[in-house]
Amino acid sequence: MTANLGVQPGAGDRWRPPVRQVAADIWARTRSADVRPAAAWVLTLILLFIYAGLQPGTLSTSSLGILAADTLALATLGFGQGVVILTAGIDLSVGGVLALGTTIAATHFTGTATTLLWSVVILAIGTAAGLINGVLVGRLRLQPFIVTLATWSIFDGIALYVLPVAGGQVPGGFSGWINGSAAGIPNSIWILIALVAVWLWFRRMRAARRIYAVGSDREAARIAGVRIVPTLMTAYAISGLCAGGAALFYAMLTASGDPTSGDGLILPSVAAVVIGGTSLFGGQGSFVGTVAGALTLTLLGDVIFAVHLPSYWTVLADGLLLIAAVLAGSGLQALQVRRAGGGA
Amino acid sequence: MPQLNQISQRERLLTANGLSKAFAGVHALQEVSFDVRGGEVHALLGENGAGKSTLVKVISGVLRADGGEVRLRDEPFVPRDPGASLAAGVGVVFQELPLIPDLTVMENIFFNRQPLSPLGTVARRRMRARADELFASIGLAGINPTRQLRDLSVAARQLVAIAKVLAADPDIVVLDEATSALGPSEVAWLFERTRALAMAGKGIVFISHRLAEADEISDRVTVLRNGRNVGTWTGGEISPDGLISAMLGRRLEQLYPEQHSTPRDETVLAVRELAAGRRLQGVDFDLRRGEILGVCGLEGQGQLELFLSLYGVIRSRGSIVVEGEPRRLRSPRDALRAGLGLALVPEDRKNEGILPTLSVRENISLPSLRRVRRLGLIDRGAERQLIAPVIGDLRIGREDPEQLVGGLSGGNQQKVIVGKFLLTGAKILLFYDLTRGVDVGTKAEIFKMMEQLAAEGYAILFYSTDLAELVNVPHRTCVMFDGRIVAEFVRGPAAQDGATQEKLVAAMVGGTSRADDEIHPVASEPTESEGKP
Amino acid sequence: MTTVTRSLSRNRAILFGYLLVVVLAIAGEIVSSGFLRINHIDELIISGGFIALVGVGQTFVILTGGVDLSIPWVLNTSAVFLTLWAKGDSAKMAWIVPVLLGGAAVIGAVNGIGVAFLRIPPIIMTLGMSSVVEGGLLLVTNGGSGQNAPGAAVYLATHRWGPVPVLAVLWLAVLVAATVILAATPFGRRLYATGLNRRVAAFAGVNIQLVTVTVYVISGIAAALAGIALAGYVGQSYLGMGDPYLFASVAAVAIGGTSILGGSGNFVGTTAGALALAVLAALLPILGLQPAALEIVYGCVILGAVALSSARKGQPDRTDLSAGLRRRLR
Repeated sequence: MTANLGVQPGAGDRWRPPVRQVAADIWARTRSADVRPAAAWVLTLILLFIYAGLQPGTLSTSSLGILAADTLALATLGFGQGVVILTAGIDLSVGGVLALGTTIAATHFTGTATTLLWSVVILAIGTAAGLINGVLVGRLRLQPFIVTLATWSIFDGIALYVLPVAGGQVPGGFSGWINGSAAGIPNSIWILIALVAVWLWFRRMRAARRIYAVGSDREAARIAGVRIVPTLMTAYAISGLCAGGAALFYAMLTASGDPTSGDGLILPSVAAVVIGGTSLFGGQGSFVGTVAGALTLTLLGDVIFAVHLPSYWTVLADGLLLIAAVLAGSGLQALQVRRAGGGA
Repeated sequence: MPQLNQISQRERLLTANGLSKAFAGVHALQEVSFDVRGGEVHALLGENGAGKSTLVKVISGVLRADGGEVRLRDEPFVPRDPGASLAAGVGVVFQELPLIPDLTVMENIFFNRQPLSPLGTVARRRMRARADELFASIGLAGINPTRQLRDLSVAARQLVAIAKVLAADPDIVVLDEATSALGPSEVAWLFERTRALAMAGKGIVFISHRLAEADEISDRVTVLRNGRNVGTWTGGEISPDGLISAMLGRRLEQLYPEQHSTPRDETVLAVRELAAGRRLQGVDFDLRRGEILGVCGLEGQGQLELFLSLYGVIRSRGSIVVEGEPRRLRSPRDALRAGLGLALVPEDRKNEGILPTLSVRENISLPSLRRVRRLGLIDRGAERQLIAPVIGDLRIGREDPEQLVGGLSGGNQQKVIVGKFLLTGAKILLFYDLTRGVDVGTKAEIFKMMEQLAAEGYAILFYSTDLAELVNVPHRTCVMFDGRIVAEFVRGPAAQDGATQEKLVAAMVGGTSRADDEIHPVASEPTESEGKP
Repeated sequence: MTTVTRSLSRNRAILFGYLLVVVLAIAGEIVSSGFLRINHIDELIISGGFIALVGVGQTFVILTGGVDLSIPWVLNTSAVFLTLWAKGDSAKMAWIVPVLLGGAAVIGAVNGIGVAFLRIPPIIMTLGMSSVVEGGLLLVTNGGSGQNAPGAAVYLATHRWGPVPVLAVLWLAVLVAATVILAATPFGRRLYATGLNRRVAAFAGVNIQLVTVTVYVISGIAAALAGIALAGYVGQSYLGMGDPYLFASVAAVAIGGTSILGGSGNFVGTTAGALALAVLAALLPILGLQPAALEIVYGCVILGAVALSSARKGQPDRTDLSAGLRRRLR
């Protein structure tokens, strides 16, 4: 018994000659969200080549290593921010956590032992901050931006207590590590690769599927058996942990601490995630794209420097890029919806 | 139809004893007892707010009861959430379709139970294989498990939700309004599966507002009213009228009002070649003063686009002529100015066109604030004077303008929506799916209001998914398919093109083969095709 | 529940806000006598007034369910350009002030257009614009510090009529105007409707795009006004003068009982919040706490106020027109 029930056409459900079938499959794949991280990487490569044109020697391993080192803090922030945005939330407190992390590093990293100990403490603080955010957002059902706005303020304040003015010092061995290399590849690149590897493994876990589900449709996820509060706590804890890690990378890079260091990184962390194709409404996105987004932003800053424009242009450009990326993302989504026949 | 003693001899799979649940002073369930036996299909009926969904949510663990208990085969049954409930053998297909749009079909079906690889990650290939197996075993073909759920039609999604529950092979299956988005052949498939499950000894609970469906499929019927169980009967023991009076607690003289009015000759809305988006391909029709024109069609045939175009919400092509004047309707404001009003009820019935935390006065006057403005401020006295006649005519609630709309009954809330538009001088009312999921009592009120409005000369375009309504209420009904009007019927089965449910269905699924992607419920024996030319 | 009981429960939040102000003020007097002398009260009212002014703009925006993160830099830009262009000459203010307000209105309009027409989430749009404005300002000033404010501005900001500062009168006028707009005009009604439920409001003929753009324009103008006045009060402009006002504006709104989700709230509450924050800010140094403590306090206050208000009432259902319909049309 068959009847036309008004269901939309779908690839793979009727016979076609093989070549057209392959083409149809590829077309079906591109209809899904996979295309956006790829677009972000294209953008990154374009910028890379522009920069290479302006600054010869860019494509050498060591230069790429420096690029990776410059991007590390932002990429790490982007990992966590991306996970939170997957739940249709946002984490503004990463700025405060990062500031607190760098100020602690600059004041407490005296020797190898203290460096290791306090590094762990920084990561723990970040995770704890995330858990608090998660509880407030999940259990009290408060809006993410207001909660993380408040915790941003709190942690910024604590950072100001620890180190009222930029300064301090981190041990040379710590900050120098980022410039080192292993097996001919700079450490910074190893870390980026490691982050991507962690992501590729994480996203296939049930916990990650639950995070996607909560962002996609919270009520449906709840009825489907997802425990919302632990899932949100996990997401925000990951973000806090990443903010702590980013603080460590930042301290490595600048070899000092700064209580205002976090404020300027919040927008770029969101921008990196959005450029990388993650949807602000939750449920769609991948760190693979976020890395590209982070690289794009770093390269943008480098290009601005290379053409001798004042660095303030970066601030302006980042803001415009964020807005443009959101527009491009929603535009692409509208296009996909229309191409898919509007679903139904 | 099995005999009473046969059923009573069957094993009680699930028993609810004296369940009570209250929300903020409202007693959703009051000492409800209910049981499901192996091998039966047990229909659960009742008005909105009677407690059916609450009962289901308590059974499945979404809510915790205040009193009473649920036993599964004589063991206390208190699942932590629907996932745990499913694991224990009680599967619920919720009305709200708890599916995740951004995940694939198979991820949804096996959500939180995905097969894992040694690394702890989801094993996709194995999942795909299991999904294919599942679809084959329940007779569903045509859904690609790797499709993203958001790409599927609502009907397909409902099928996926059903498949998800069946995948766990539960002993008890609860179907809460599971047919609301399904077309006739899909409903037939579901009924077949239901009977197969019952024959295999499972217990099925079937909840629906479509009395006819419930009657057809069920062995026993339980009616809830105001949170109480008012009776359980076997099929045949009670008539449909009896069921309705059990549901309402009183005799309902007539669900459908006496038809007094005839449409006048004057055409108040003329539409030619109206097209919008991809789904509305081009419709022509005339609507006369005092006429109720029904629209029907399967999901996604362009009817939503039709209504939204007429109200200026989406861009459209073609011509719209209101009271002789051609109009470009590019926004709801344009539509209001042209004399149209839209009452649209979304699928989830959230935000039903009212602002519940505001008063009746504030709701009704919202589109007409310009008329009570003096020196830039709102003149409260003038406002009250303006809305008083509307509240009186439609008999809204206690007729107190300061009453909060959130506290009104469903029927009164609909009246507030309509009243809002009457105040703007709207002559043409667009009612989209107003009666979806609405209980019988409220439906009667709505139909009475519609008839009254038609008698007063308003023109009404009325879309509904309930075929019985479309046969009885509108003066004419047109059927949409593939973005066009393919058939038109008049009220009264006697006439040659008189509307009957059979003819409507035939027209709804008729039309030529645009069959790119068909869901093929596989019948166990060959059956006739559904009137396809 | 009727409208009467509804305004009672709303007023409870406002009463709580004012109670807080009184309690804090008394605490200040206890800790350090002379806290409540007239001069100091005037100062508290003025600094509270600055917060209240940006709070008014923020309240308008939050009522529609959005937020304006660009306030600090719009404030800063107005202050800097005032001093830069006037170079101490008060007469120039006659054209400078309208130009600044106009510019702020444009920035607000851009925010509003992004949110209303391009459907960019308000956090993102205003966050992005904040960066754009900041970058623009830095480029123009090359990171340098500001100039001195023109005399008229200083006069306006610091002069008193007897015990009453001129600024206080201005703040009062703004508050009254804003309250009247919200409570008694069609625009105010439409604004509430938009914040409560965009789809219902749109179907009722409300021009939600216009409402949205308008509130961001208002917020921009309010921030610019605050910047001009602040430059007068401090006597000069400098980079970073707007920074405290982001957290402060949101905190004031939260204390005042306006729902972050939109659709309910008013300015009387926001003003109470602003005053409470001003008193708090004055109290902290007396208690020996560093300025860092203020940020921590802001954060805790925001959390506390929002948690309290969400515990008090159930969260209203706020749906987005585009998302809802998009889902339907899909």
